[in-house]
Amino acid sequence: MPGFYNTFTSGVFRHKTGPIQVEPKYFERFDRQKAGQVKGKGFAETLAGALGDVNDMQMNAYNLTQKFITEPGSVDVHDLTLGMAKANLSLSITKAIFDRALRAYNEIINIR
Amino acid sequence: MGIYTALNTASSGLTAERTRLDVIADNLANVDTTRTPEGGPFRRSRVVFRPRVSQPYWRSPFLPKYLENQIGRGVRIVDIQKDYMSKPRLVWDPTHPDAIKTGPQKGYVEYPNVNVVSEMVDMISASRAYEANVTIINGAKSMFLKALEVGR
Repeated sequence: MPGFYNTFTSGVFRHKTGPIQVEPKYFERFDRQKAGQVKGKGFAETLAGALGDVNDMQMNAYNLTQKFITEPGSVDVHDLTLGMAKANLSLSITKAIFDRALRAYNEIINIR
Repeated sequence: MGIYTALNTASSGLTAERTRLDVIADNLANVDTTRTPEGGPFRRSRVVFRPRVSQPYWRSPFLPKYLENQIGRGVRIVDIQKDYMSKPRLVWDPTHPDAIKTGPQKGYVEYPNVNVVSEMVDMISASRAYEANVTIINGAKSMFLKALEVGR
């Protein structure tokens, strides 16, 4: 049994042999994330959702650019450049993931 | 915590510093304004900031450290306040239409309590803080791109 004090001070207690166990009620936030990963949507839906998010960022940057051109006073310059940077970053992580997945696929294909 | 936390935080800093620059521009533009709708000379304004947090501030001895206050979410503008504490600048000019007509200060004109030198110093401070936030954004971006290169 874990010590009472230990539980309250750190939220994490360690059995003598087993792995680190986390008191679940203190980590509702993290557990929810974990639960979402386990029994959440399938891979295809997750992928489509992530792609939708990336597309949203691109569209946001595009809309900000349009607004900046037609109505320069209404948009902050740093909001525009930050939107473009976010779109760029999310697209680059998407590209990285796709490259890795494609490489894994190719490696599996080439097994002889 | 997401990958865009640093970007959003720095973005709030950019907005805050830009607002500060707007206020300084307004102060400097009104450096000679002697007439305002509320009466008297123009008063310099100042911006009041406060941190933006994701949850209310409180602390309890019965909770683990993980649930206590986390990293903030940047800065937000609380208020733009007029400075009524410092006195207006008095200049002797009896022919001015806004000169004081009666009393012991007869013939003096009340000019705004805007100090051009300190406004310029504030402007330098605001633009340096803006640059620092831009540097944060660039640093966060290059960290992110470096993380994408892991294992390549």
